[in-house]
Amino acid sequence: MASLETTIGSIKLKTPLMPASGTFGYGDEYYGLISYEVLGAIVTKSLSLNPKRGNPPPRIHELPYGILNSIGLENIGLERFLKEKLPFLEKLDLPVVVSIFGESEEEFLQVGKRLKNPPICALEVNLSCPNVKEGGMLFGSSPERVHRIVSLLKNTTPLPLWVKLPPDPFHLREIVEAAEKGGADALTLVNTLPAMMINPHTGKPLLGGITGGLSGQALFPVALRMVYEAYKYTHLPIIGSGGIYSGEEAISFIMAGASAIQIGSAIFSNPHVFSEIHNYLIEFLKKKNLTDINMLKGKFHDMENSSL
Amino acid sequence: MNEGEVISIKRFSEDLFILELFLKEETSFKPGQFAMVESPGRPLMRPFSIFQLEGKKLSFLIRAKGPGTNSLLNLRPGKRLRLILPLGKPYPEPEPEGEVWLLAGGIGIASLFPLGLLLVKEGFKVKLFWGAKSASHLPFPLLWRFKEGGLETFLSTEDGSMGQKGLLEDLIPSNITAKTIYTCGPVEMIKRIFPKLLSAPKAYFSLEERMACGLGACRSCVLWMEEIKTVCKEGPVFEKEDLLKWQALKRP
Repeated sequence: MASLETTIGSIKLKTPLMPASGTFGYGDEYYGLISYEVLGAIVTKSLSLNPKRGNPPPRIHELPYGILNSIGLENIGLERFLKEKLPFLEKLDLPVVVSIFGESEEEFLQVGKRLKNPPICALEVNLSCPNVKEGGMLFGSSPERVHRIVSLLKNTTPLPLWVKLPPDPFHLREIVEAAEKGGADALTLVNTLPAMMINPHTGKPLLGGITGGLSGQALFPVALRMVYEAYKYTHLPIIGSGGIYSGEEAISFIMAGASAIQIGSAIFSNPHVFSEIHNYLIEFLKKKNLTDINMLKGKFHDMENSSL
Repeated sequence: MNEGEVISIKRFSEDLFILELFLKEETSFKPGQFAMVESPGRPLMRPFSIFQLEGKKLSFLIRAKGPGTNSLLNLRPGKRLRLILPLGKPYPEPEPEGEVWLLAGGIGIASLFPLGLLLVKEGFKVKLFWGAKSASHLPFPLLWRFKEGGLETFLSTEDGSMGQKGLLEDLIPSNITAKTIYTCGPVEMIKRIFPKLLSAPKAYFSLEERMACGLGACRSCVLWMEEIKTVCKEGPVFEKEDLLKWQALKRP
Protein backbone atom coordinates (compact mmCIF):
# COMPACT_ATOMS: atom_id res chain seq x y z
CA MET A 1 0.00 0.00 0.00
CA ALA A 2 1.21 3.50 -0.81
CA SER A 3 2.50 5.52 2.11
CA LEU A 4 0.55 8.48 3.45
CA GLU A 5 3.19 9.21 6.06
CA THR A 6 4.33 12.80 6.17
CA THR A 7 6.39 15.06 8.38
CA ILE A 8 5.91 18.57 9.70
CA GLY A 9 9.42 19.54 10.70
CA SER A 10 10.51 16.94 13.24
CA ILE A 11 7.01 15.55 13.75
CA LYS A 12 6.10 12.37 11.98
CA LEU A 13 2.46 11.95 11.02
CA LYS A 14 0.94 8.61 10.04
CA THR A 15 -1.36 10.38 7.59
CA PRO A 16 -1.61 14.00 6.43
CA LEU A 17 -5.19 14.31 7.77
CA MET A 18 -6.23 16.12 10.90
CA PRO A 19 -9.24 18.04 12.16
CA ALA A 20 -9.20 21.83 12.02
CA SER A 21 -9.16 23.52 15.41
CA GLY A 22 -12.59 24.30 16.80
CA THR A 23 -14.50 21.68 14.84
CA PHE A 24 -13.33 18.64 16.82
CA GLY A 25 -13.71 19.84 20.41
CA TYR A 26 -10.94 18.56 22.64
CA GLY A 27 -10.59 15.30 20.74
CA ASP A 28 -12.85 13.06 22.81
CA GLU A 29 -16.24 14.04 21.41
CA TYR A 30 -15.99 12.01 18.20
CA TYR A 31 -14.35 9.00 19.81
CA GLY A 32 -16.34 5.84 19.13
CA LEU A 33 -18.28 7.51 16.34
CA ILE A 34 -15.57 7.68 13.69
CA SER A 35 -12.26 5.94 13.09
CA TYR A 36 -9.29 7.75 14.62
CA GLU A 37 -6.94 5.34 12.79
CA VAL A 38 -6.90 7.50 9.69
CA LEU A 39 -5.90 10.68 11.54
CA GLY A 40 -2.34 11.95 11.58
CA ALA A 41 -2.90 14.13 14.62
CA ILE A 42 -5.58 15.66 16.80
CA VAL A 43 -5.90 19.44 16.83
CA THR A 44 -7.79 20.80 19.81
CA LYS A 45 -10.12 23.71 20.14
CA SER A 46 -8.24 26.93 20.92
CA LEU A 47 -7.32 27.28 24.59
CA SER A 48 -6.83 30.43 26.60
CA LEU A 49 -5.45 30.74 30.12
CA ASN A 50 -8.81 31.25 31.78
CA PRO A 51 -12.12 29.75 30.67
CA LYS A 52 -13.89 31.93 28.13
CA ARG A 53 -17.67 32.20 27.61
CA GLY A 54 -17.59 33.07 23.96
CA ASN A 55 -20.38 34.88 22.14
CA PRO A 56 -24.12 34.81 22.79
CA PRO A 57 -26.25 32.67 20.44
CA PRO A 58 -27.09 32.33 17.64
CA ARG A 59 -23.57 31.13 17.00
CA ILE A 60 -23.95 29.46 13.67
CA HIS A 61 -25.63 30.28 10.39
CA GLU A 62 -25.72 27.95 7.44
CA LEU A 63 -25.30 29.27 3.92
CA PRO A 64 -25.64 27.35 0.66
CA TYR A 65 -21.88 27.69 0.16
CA GLY A 66 -20.50 27.44 3.67
CA ILE A 67 -20.96 28.06 7.36
CA LEU A 68 -20.78 31.29 9.29
CA ASN A 69 -19.87 30.95 12.98
CA SER A 70 -19.28 33.20 15.93
CA ILE A 71 -18.48 30.80 18.74
CA GLY A 72 -16.22 33.51 20.11
CA LEU A 73 -13.42 31.15 21.20
CA GLU A 74 -15.44 29.67 24.06
CA ASN A 75 -13.19 27.22 25.88
CA ILE A 76 -12.70 25.54 29.24
CA GLY A 77 -9.34 27.19 29.93
CA LEU A 78 -5.91 25.70 30.44
CA GLU A 79 -6.39 24.15 33.91
CA ARG A 80 -9.52 22.22 33.08
CA PHE A 81 -7.97 21.07 29.80
CA LEU A 82 -4.96 19.64 31.60
CA LYS A 83 -7.11 17.95 34.23
CA GLU A 84 -10.14 16.78 32.26
CA LYS A 85 -9.08 16.40 28.63
CA LEU A 86 -5.38 15.59 28.48
CA PRO A 87 -5.68 12.19 30.24
CA PHE A 88 -7.93 10.96 27.41
CA LEU A 89 -5.58 12.30 24.75
CA GLU A 90 -2.67 10.54 26.47
CA LYS A 91 -4.38 7.22 25.86
CA LEU A 92 -4.68 7.78 22.12
CA ASP A 93 -1.68 6.79 20.12
CA LEU A 94 -1.73 10.10 18.26
CA PRO A 95 0.28 13.31 18.29
CA VAL A 96 -1.74 16.16 19.77
CA VAL A 97 -1.52 19.71 18.53
CA VAL A 98 -2.96 22.17 21.01
CA SER A 99 -4.32 25.38 19.55
CA ILE A 100 -3.64 28.37 21.78
CA PHE A 101 -4.67 32.00 21.92
CA GLY A 102 -4.63 34.92 24.29
CA GLU A 103 -6.22 38.30 24.60
CA SER A 104 -2.79 39.70 25.36
CA GLU A 105 0.79 38.69 24.68
CA GLU A 106 1.21 37.71 28.35
CA GLU A 107 -1.79 35.39 28.20
CA PHE A 108 -0.46 33.76 25.03
CA LEU A 109 2.89 33.14 26.73
CA GLN A 110 1.36 31.79 29.91
CA VAL A 111 -0.69 29.24 27.98
CA GLY A 112 2.27 28.36 25.79
CA LYS A 113 4.67 27.59 28.58
CA ARG A 114 2.29 25.28 30.46
CA LEU A 115 1.76 22.91 27.52
CA LYS A 116 4.89 20.93 26.97
CA ASN A 117 4.57 17.24 27.71
CA PRO A 118 3.70 14.40 25.34
CA PRO A 119 1.36 13.64 23.70
CA ILE A 120 1.43 17.35 22.91
CA CYS A 121 3.79 17.58 19.95
CA ALA A 122 3.20 21.14 18.76
CA LEU A 123 1.30 24.31 19.50
CA GLU A 124 -0.88 25.87 16.88
CA VAL A 125 -0.85 29.62 17.37
CA ASN A 126 -4.28 31.05 16.58
CA LEU A 127 -3.63 34.59 15.39
CA SER A 128 -7.26 35.25 14.45
CA CYS A 129 -7.96 36.61 17.92
CA PRO A 130 -8.07 40.18 19.15
CA ASN A 131 -5.33 41.76 21.23
CA VAL A 132 -7.42 43.59 23.81
CA LYS A 133 -4.54 45.87 24.77
CA GLU A 134 -4.25 47.01 21.19
CA GLY A 135 -7.90 47.95 20.94
CA GLY A 136 -8.93 44.57 19.61
CA MET A 137 -6.63 44.45 16.60
CA LEU A 138 -6.13 40.87 15.49
CA PHE A 139 -2.72 39.41 16.28
CA GLY A 140 -2.50 38.20 12.72
CA SER A 141 -3.38 41.53 11.14
CA SER A 142 0.12 42.93 10.59
CA PRO A 143 3.60 41.52 9.96
CA GLU A 144 4.97 43.36 13.04
CA ARG A 145 2.37 41.85 15.37
CA VAL A 146 2.88 38.39 13.91
CA HIS A 147 6.64 38.63 14.25
CA ARG A 148 6.41 39.84 17.82
CA ILE A 149 4.05 37.21 19.19
CA VAL A 150 5.75 34.34 17.37
CA SER A 151 9.24 35.30 18.57
CA LEU A 152 8.00 35.79 22.14
CA LEU A 153 6.42 32.34 22.08
CA LYS A 154 9.51 30.84 20.51
CA ASN A 155 11.52 31.97 23.55
CA THR A 156 8.92 30.50 25.90
CA THR A 157 8.33 26.99 24.65
CA PRO A 158 10.52 24.24 23.22
CA LEU A 159 7.55 22.85 21.25
CA PRO A 160 7.29 23.49 17.52
CA LEU A 161 4.98 26.39 16.65
CA TRP A 162 2.44 26.03 13.88
CA VAL A 163 1.36 29.56 13.12
CA LYS A 164 -2.23 29.71 11.88
CA LEU A 165 -2.92 32.75 9.76
CA PRO A 166 -6.11 34.55 8.83
CA PRO A 167 -6.87 34.59 5.09
CA ASP A 168 -5.56 38.08 4.31
CA PRO A 169 -4.97 37.80 0.58
CA PHE A 170 -3.02 41.05 0.20
CA HIS A 171 -0.35 40.84 2.90
CA LEU A 172 0.37 37.18 2.62
CA ARG A 173 4.04 37.41 1.73
CA GLU A 174 4.92 39.91 4.48
CA ILE A 175 3.01 37.95 7.08
CA VAL A 176 4.47 34.60 6.06
CA GLU A 177 7.96 36.05 6.18
CA ALA A 178 7.29 37.67 9.57
CA ALA A 179 6.12 34.34 10.99
CA GLU A 180 9.16 32.55 9.60
CA LYS A 181 11.56 35.17 10.94
CA GLY A 182 9.83 35.03 14.32
CA GLY A 183 10.64 31.33 14.53
CA ALA A 184 7.56 29.54 13.22
CA ASP A 185 8.11 25.83 12.53
CA ALA A 186 5.12 25.49 10.24
CA LEU A 187 2.22 27.50 8.88
CA THR A 188 -1.44 26.59 8.98
CA LEU A 189 -3.25 28.26 6.12
CA VAL A 190 -5.97 29.45 6.60
CA ASN A 191 -8.32 30.38 9.41
CA THR A 192 -11.93 31.42 8.72
CA LEU A 193 -12.66 34.54 6.71
CA PRO A 194 -14.22 37.41 8.71
CA ALA A 195 -17.83 37.74 7.57
CA MET A 196 -21.34 38.65 8.63
CA MET A 197 -25.03 38.43 7.70
CA ILE A 198 -27.90 40.80 8.41
CA ASN A 199 -31.55 39.84 8.44
CA PRO A 200 -33.02 42.62 6.29
CA HIS A 201 -36.53 42.02 7.64
CA THR A 202 -35.65 42.59 11.27
CA GLY A 203 -32.52 44.65 10.82
CA LYS A 204 -30.77 42.33 13.24
CA PRO A 205 -27.54 40.37 12.76
CA LEU A 206 -27.87 36.65 12.13
CA LEU A 207 -25.07 35.94 14.60
CA GLY A 208 -25.09 36.84 18.28
CA GLY A 209 -21.51 38.05 17.94
CA ILE A 210 -22.58 40.19 14.94
CA THR A 211 -19.50 39.24 12.91
CA GLY A 212 -18.03 35.79 12.63
CA GLY A 213 -15.94 33.56 10.42
CA LEU A 214 -16.84 31.98 7.10
CA SER A 215 -15.75 28.41 6.51
CA GLY A 216 -16.71 25.62 4.16
CA GLN A 217 -17.05 25.47 0.39
CA ALA A 218 -16.71 29.21 -0.24
CA LEU A 219 -13.34 29.29 1.49
CA PHE A 220 -11.77 26.49 -0.56
CA PRO A 221 -10.44 28.43 -3.59
CA VAL A 222 -9.32 31.32 -1.36
CA ALA A 223 -7.35 29.02 0.91
CA LEU A 224 -5.95 27.01 -1.99
CA ARG A 225 -4.54 30.14 -3.58
CA MET A 226 -2.97 31.19 -0.30
CA VAL A 227 -1.23 27.84 0.11
CA TYR A 228 -0.06 28.07 -3.49
CA GLU A 229 1.36 31.58 -2.94
CA ALA A 230 2.87 30.89 0.47
CA TYR A 231 4.70 27.83 -0.86
CA LYS A 232 6.70 30.15 -3.12
CA TYR A 233 7.77 32.43 -0.28
CA THR A 234 8.73 30.00 2.44
CA HIS A 235 10.48 26.72 3.11
CA LEU A 236 8.33 26.09 6.17
CA PRO A 237 5.97 23.15 5.94
CA ILE A 238 2.39 24.22 5.25
CA ILE A 239 -0.74 22.67 6.73
CA GLY A 240 -3.56 23.55 4.36
CA SER A 241 -7.05 24.20 5.62
CA GLY A 242 -10.19 25.72 4.16
CA GLY A 243 -13.28 24.10 2.70
CA ILE A 244 -11.82 20.64 2.06
CA TYR A 245 -14.68 18.16 1.62
CA SER A 246 -13.25 15.56 -0.74
CA GLY A 247 -10.17 13.63 -1.72
CA GLU A 248 -9.83 15.69 -4.88
CA GLU A 249 -9.74 18.88 -2.86
CA ALA A 250 -7.20 17.39 -0.45
CA ILE A 251 -4.94 16.50 -3.37
CA SER A 252 -5.30 20.01 -4.81
CA PHE A 253 -4.00 21.40 -1.53
CA ILE A 254 -1.07 18.99 -1.48
CA MET A 255 -0.23 19.83 -5.08
CA ALA A 256 -0.36 23.55 -4.18
CA GLY A 257 2.26 22.86 -1.53
CA ALA A 258 0.60 21.59 1.63
CA SER A 259 2.44 18.87 3.59
CA ALA A 260 -0.72 18.04 5.52
CA ILE A 261 -4.32 19.17 5.58
CA GLN A 262 -6.95 20.03 8.13
CA ILE A 263 -10.62 19.30 7.71
CA GLY A 264 -13.19 21.37 9.55
CA SER A 265 -16.64 22.22 8.26
CA ALA A 266 -16.92 19.01 6.26
CA ILE A 267 -17.10 17.06 9.53
CA PHE A 268 -20.49 18.67 10.17
CA SER A 269 -22.13 17.18 7.10
CA ASN A 270 -20.09 13.98 7.08
CA PRO A 271 -18.17 12.82 10.15
CA HIS A 272 -16.75 10.00 7.97
CA VAL A 273 -14.92 12.53 5.83
CA PHE A 274 -11.50 11.57 7.24
CA SER A 275 -11.89 7.90 6.29
CA GLU A 276 -13.31 8.77 2.89
CA ILE A 277 -10.45 11.14 2.05
CA HIS A 278 -7.95 8.64 3.44
CA ASN A 279 -9.26 5.91 1.14
CA TYR A 280 -9.34 8.26 -1.81
CA LEU A 281 -5.69 9.25 -1.31
CA ILE A 282 -4.61 5.59 -1.20
CA GLU A 283 -6.57 4.81 -4.37
CA PHE A 284 -5.32 7.93 -6.12
CA LEU A 285 -1.67 7.08 -5.44
CA LYS A 286 -2.25 3.52 -6.61
CA LYS A 287 -3.84 4.68 -9.86
CA LYS A 288 -0.99 7.07 -10.53
CA ASN A 289 1.59 4.43 -9.65
CA LEU A 290 2.98 6.53 -6.84
CA THR A 291 4.32 5.03 -3.63
CA ASP A 292 4.30 8.06 -1.39
CA ILE A 293 1.96 11.01 -0.86
CA ASN A 294 4.94 13.35 -0.60
CA MET A 295 5.60 12.79 -4.30
CA LEU A 296 2.55 14.99 -4.93
CA LYS A 297 3.65 17.79 -2.65
CA GLY A 298 4.08 21.05 -4.58
CA LYS A 299 3.55 19.15 -7.82
CA PHE A 300 1.54 22.01 -9.24
CA HIS A 301 4.56 24.30 -8.98
CA ASP A 302 6.74 21.84 -10.89
CA MET A 303 4.21 21.66 -13.68
CA GLU A 304 3.83 25.42 -13.72
CA ASN A 305 7.57 25.96 -13.86
CA SER A 306 8.19 23.37 -16.57
CA SER A 307 5.52 24.82 -18.82
CA LEU A 308 7.16 28.24 -18.79
CA MET B 1 -22.55 6.57 12.89
CA ASN B 2 -25.49 4.94 11.25
CA GLU B 3 -27.22 5.18 7.92
CA GLY B 4 -30.87 5.13 6.91
CA GLU B 5 -32.44 4.30 3.60
CA VAL B 6 -35.57 6.28 2.77
CA ILE B 7 -38.60 3.98 2.80
CA SER B 8 -41.24 6.65 2.33
CA ILE B 9 -42.22 10.23 2.82
CA LYS B 10 -45.77 10.58 4.08
CA ARG B 11 -47.11 14.04 3.65
CA PHE B 12 -49.91 15.23 5.95
CA SER B 13 -50.26 18.77 4.71
CA GLU B 14 -48.44 21.44 2.73
CA ASP B 15 -45.40 21.29 5.00
CA LEU B 16 -45.83 18.45 7.48
CA PHE B 17 -44.42 15.01 6.75
CA ILE B 18 -43.11 11.78 8.21
CA LEU B 19 -39.74 10.63 6.92
CA GLU B 20 -39.45 6.90 7.31
CA LEU B 21 -36.02 5.27 7.12
CA PHE B 22 -34.67 1.75 7.25
CA LEU B 23 -31.59 1.69 9.48
CA LYS B 24 -28.38 -0.05 8.55
CA GLU B 25 -27.70 -0.92 12.16
CA GLU B 26 -30.29 -1.57 14.82
CA THR B 27 -30.36 0.84 17.71
CA SER B 28 -32.65 1.98 20.51
CA PHE B 29 -33.79 5.26 21.97
CA LYS B 30 -35.70 6.84 24.81
CA PRO B 31 -38.36 9.51 24.16
CA GLY B 32 -36.81 12.97 24.02
CA GLN B 33 -33.60 11.84 22.33
CA PHE B 34 -32.76 13.06 18.85
CA ALA B 35 -30.79 12.23 15.74
CA MET B 36 -28.53 14.28 13.50
CA VAL B 37 -29.73 13.72 9.95
CA GLU B 38 -27.87 14.50 6.75
CA SER B 39 -29.64 17.16 4.67
CA PRO B 40 -28.57 16.44 1.10
CA GLY B 41 -26.69 19.34 -0.46
CA ARG B 42 -26.54 21.36 2.73
CA PRO B 43 -23.43 22.05 4.84
CA LEU B 44 -25.01 21.01 8.14
CA MET B 45 -26.84 17.92 9.36
CA ARG B 46 -30.16 18.66 11.07
CA PRO B 47 -31.31 17.62 14.55
CA PHE B 48 -34.72 15.92 14.72
CA SER B 49 -36.47 14.32 17.68
CA ILE B 50 -36.93 10.61 17.22
CA PHE B 51 -40.62 10.08 16.56
CA GLN B 52 -40.79 6.31 16.28
CA LEU B 53 -38.35 3.43 16.19
CA GLU B 54 -39.45 -0.17 15.71
CA GLY B 55 -36.68 -2.62 14.94
CA LYS B 56 -34.78 -0.97 12.13
CA LYS B 57 -37.68 1.25 11.10
CA LEU B 58 -37.06 4.82 12.18
CA SER B 59 -39.26 7.82 11.57
CA PHE B 60 -39.19 11.55 12.08
CA LEU B 61 -42.12 13.96 12.09
CA ILE B 62 -40.85 17.06 10.32
CA ARG B 63 -42.17 20.44 9.30
CA ALA B 64 -40.59 21.77 6.12
CA LYS B 65 -39.63 25.32 6.88
CA GLY B 66 -36.20 25.93 5.37
CA PRO B 67 -33.68 24.60 2.88
CA GLY B 68 -32.62 21.65 5.08
CA THR B 69 -36.08 20.31 5.85
CA ASN B 70 -37.17 20.96 2.25
CA SER B 71 -34.22 18.93 0.98
CA LEU B 72 -35.63 16.00 2.97
CA LEU B 73 -39.23 16.52 1.87
CA ASN B 74 -38.22 15.99 -1.76
CA LEU B 75 -36.23 12.79 -1.27
CA ARG B 76 -37.10 9.60 -3.11
CA PRO B 77 -37.25 6.11 -1.64
CA GLY B 78 -33.87 4.39 -1.74
CA LYS B 79 -31.83 7.48 -0.93
CA ARG B 80 -29.36 6.86 1.90
CA LEU B 81 -28.82 9.41 4.64
CA ARG B 82 -26.03 9.60 7.18
CA LEU B 83 -27.33 9.58 10.74
CA ILE B 84 -25.99 9.96 14.24
CA LEU B 85 -28.31 8.59 16.91
CA PRO B 86 -29.48 8.37 19.62
CA LEU B 87 -28.22 11.70 20.96
CA GLY B 88 -28.98 13.86 23.98
CA LYS B 89 -30.69 13.24 27.28
CA PRO B 90 -34.19 11.74 27.23
CA TYR B 91 -37.20 12.91 29.21
CA PRO B 92 -36.76 11.77 32.83
CA GLU B 93 -39.30 9.43 34.41
CA PRO B 94 -42.42 11.17 35.75
CA GLU B 95 -43.23 11.46 39.44
CA PRO B 96 -44.53 8.03 40.51
CA GLU B 97 -48.02 9.27 41.42
CA GLY B 98 -50.33 11.77 39.80
CA GLU B 99 -51.26 13.16 36.46
CA VAL B 100 -48.85 13.80 33.59
CA TRP B 101 -49.36 16.69 31.15
CA LEU B 102 -47.76 16.93 27.77
CA LEU B 103 -47.66 20.42 26.29
CA ALA B 104 -46.85 20.42 22.59
CA GLY B 105 -46.41 23.51 20.49
CA GLY B 106 -46.76 22.66 16.79
CA ILE B 107 -44.12 20.22 15.64
CA GLY B 108 -43.02 19.87 19.28
CA ILE B 109 -45.40 16.90 19.28
CA ALA B 110 -42.64 14.89 17.57
CA SER B 111 -40.79 14.14 20.82
CA LEU B 112 -43.88 14.02 23.06
CA PHE B 113 -45.73 11.48 20.91
CA PRO B 114 -43.51 8.50 21.80
CA LEU B 115 -43.36 9.67 25.43
CA GLY B 116 -47.15 9.87 25.69
CA LEU B 117 -47.71 6.41 24.27
CA LEU B 118 -45.06 4.94 26.57
CA LEU B 119 -46.44 6.57 29.71
CA VAL B 120 -49.99 5.44 28.97
CA LYS B 121 -48.67 1.91 28.56
CA GLU B 122 -46.94 2.23 31.92
CA GLY B 123 -50.29 3.12 33.50
CA PHE B 124 -49.97 6.88 33.91
CA LYS B 125 -52.91 9.20 33.43
CA VAL B 126 -51.72 11.40 30.57
CA LYS B 127 -53.30 14.56 29.20
CA LEU B 128 -52.02 16.03 25.97
CA PHE B 129 -52.44 19.73 25.24
CA TRP B 130 -51.51 20.45 21.65
CA GLY B 131 -51.52 23.90 20.15
CA ALA B 132 -50.79 24.78 16.54
CA LYS B 133 -51.29 27.56 14.01
CA SER B 134 -54.14 25.86 12.23
CA ALA B 135 -55.85 22.51 11.68
CA SER B 136 -53.42 21.60 8.92
CA HIS B 137 -50.71 21.33 11.58
CA LEU B 138 -52.74 18.85 13.62
CA PRO B 139 -52.70 15.80 11.37
CA PHE B 140 -55.72 13.61 11.81
CA PRO B 141 -53.89 10.24 11.64
CA LEU B 142 -51.79 11.29 14.62
CA LEU B 143 -54.80 12.45 16.61
CA TRP B 144 -56.38 9.10 15.92
CA ARG B 145 -53.36 7.28 17.29
CA PHE B 146 -53.48 9.35 20.48
CA LYS B 147 -57.12 8.42 20.95
CA GLU B 148 -56.30 4.76 20.38
CA GLY B 149 -53.35 5.01 22.73
CA GLY B 150 -55.61 6.32 25.49
CA LEU B 151 -54.37 9.91 25.75
CA GLU B 152 -56.89 12.51 26.72
CA THR B 153 -56.31 15.17 24.07
CA PHE B 154 -57.03 18.91 24.11
CA LEU B 155 -56.44 21.01 21.01
CA SER B 156 -56.11 24.65 20.19
CA THR B 157 -55.38 26.53 16.98
CA GLU B 158 -54.51 30.18 16.52
CA ASP B 159 -57.06 30.58 13.75
CA GLY B 160 -59.75 28.50 15.44
CA SER B 161 -59.88 25.96 12.61
CA MET B 162 -59.75 23.13 15.14
CA GLY B 163 -60.17 22.92 18.91
CA GLN B 164 -60.14 26.04 21.05
CA LYS B 165 -59.22 29.28 19.30
CA GLY B 166 -56.08 30.79 20.77
CA LEU B 167 -52.66 29.88 22.08
CA LEU B 168 -51.53 26.78 23.94
CA GLU B 169 -51.10 28.66 27.22
CA ASP B 170 -54.79 29.59 27.11
CA LEU B 171 -55.72 25.95 26.62
CA ILE B 172 -54.13 24.60 29.78
CA PRO B 173 -56.09 24.93 33.04
CA SER B 174 -54.85 27.71 35.31
CA ASN B 175 -54.91 25.26 38.20
CA ILE B 176 -51.94 22.99 37.62
CA THR B 177 -53.08 19.56 38.77
CA ALA B 178 -50.27 17.63 37.09
CA LYS B 179 -47.38 16.26 39.10
CA THR B 180 -45.16 16.16 36.02
CA ILE B 181 -45.26 18.36 32.93
CA TYR B 182 -43.32 17.82 29.72
CA THR B 183 -43.15 20.67 27.21
CA CYS B 184 -41.77 20.78 23.70
CA GLY B 185 -42.19 23.56 21.19
CA PRO B 186 -40.68 26.71 19.73
CA VAL B 187 -38.68 28.98 22.04
CA GLU B 188 -41.27 31.76 21.80
CA MET B 189 -43.95 29.40 23.08
CA ILE B 190 -41.72 28.16 25.90
CA LYS B 191 -40.97 31.75 26.92
CA ARG B 192 -44.68 32.49 27.23
CA ILE B 193 -45.69 29.30 28.98
CA PHE B 194 -42.72 28.92 31.36
CA PRO B 195 -43.96 31.29 34.12
CA LYS B 196 -47.30 29.48 34.25
CA LEU B 197 -45.68 26.14 35.01
CA LEU B 198 -43.51 27.18 37.93
CA SER B 199 -45.95 25.73 40.48
CA ALA B 200 -45.75 22.23 38.97
CA PRO B 201 -43.72 19.81 41.14
CA LYS B 202 -41.72 18.73 38.09
CA ALA B 203 -41.56 20.41 34.69
CA TYR B 204 -39.29 19.45 31.82
CA PHE B 205 -38.68 21.38 28.63
CA SER B 206 -37.23 20.11 25.40
CA LEU B 207 -35.48 22.93 23.54
CA GLU B 208 -34.29 23.45 20.01
CA GLU B 209 -31.25 25.39 18.82
CA ARG B 210 -29.11 25.44 15.73
CA MET B 211 -26.52 22.69 15.83
CA ALA B 212 -23.53 21.65 13.79
CA CYS B 213 -22.14 18.51 15.43
CA GLY B 214 -24.73 17.23 17.92
CA LEU B 215 -21.91 15.98 20.16
CA GLY B 216 -20.87 19.00 22.21
CA ALA B 217 -17.76 19.59 20.11
CA CYS B 218 -18.63 22.69 18.09
CA ARG B 219 -20.27 24.70 20.90
CA SER B 220 -22.92 26.16 18.59
CA CYS B 221 -26.14 25.27 20.41
CA VAL B 222 -25.54 26.95 23.75
CA LEU B 223 -28.04 28.24 26.28
CA TRP B 224 -26.81 31.63 27.38
CA MET B 225 -26.71 31.43 31.17
CA GLU B 226 -24.14 31.72 33.92
CA GLU B 227 -22.82 28.25 33.33
CA ILE B 228 -23.22 27.73 29.60
CA LYS B 229 -25.00 24.52 28.60
CA THR B 230 -25.26 22.90 25.20
CA VAL B 231 -28.68 21.80 23.96
CA CYS B 232 -27.18 18.77 22.20
CA LYS B 233 -25.22 17.27 25.08
CA GLU B 234 -26.63 18.59 28.35
CA GLY B 235 -30.10 18.78 26.76
CA PRO B 236 -32.25 18.88 24.78
CA VAL B 237 -34.40 18.25 27.87
CA PHE B 238 -33.94 20.62 30.78
CA GLU B 239 -35.65 20.89 34.16
CA LYS B 240 -37.44 24.09 35.00
CA GLU B 241 -34.81 24.77 37.69
CA ASP B 242 -32.11 24.80 34.98
CA LEU B 243 -34.04 27.26 32.85
CA LEU B 244 -34.65 29.73 35.67
CA LYS B 245 -31.13 30.92 34.91
CA TRP B 246 -31.62 31.01 31.14
CA GLN B 247 -31.35 34.58 29.96
CA ALA B 248 -33.59 34.11 26.93
CA LEU B 249 -36.53 33.62 29.32
CA LYS B 250 -35.82 36.88 31.08
CA ARG B 251 -36.00 38.94 27.91
CA PRO B 252 -39.48 39.88 26.70
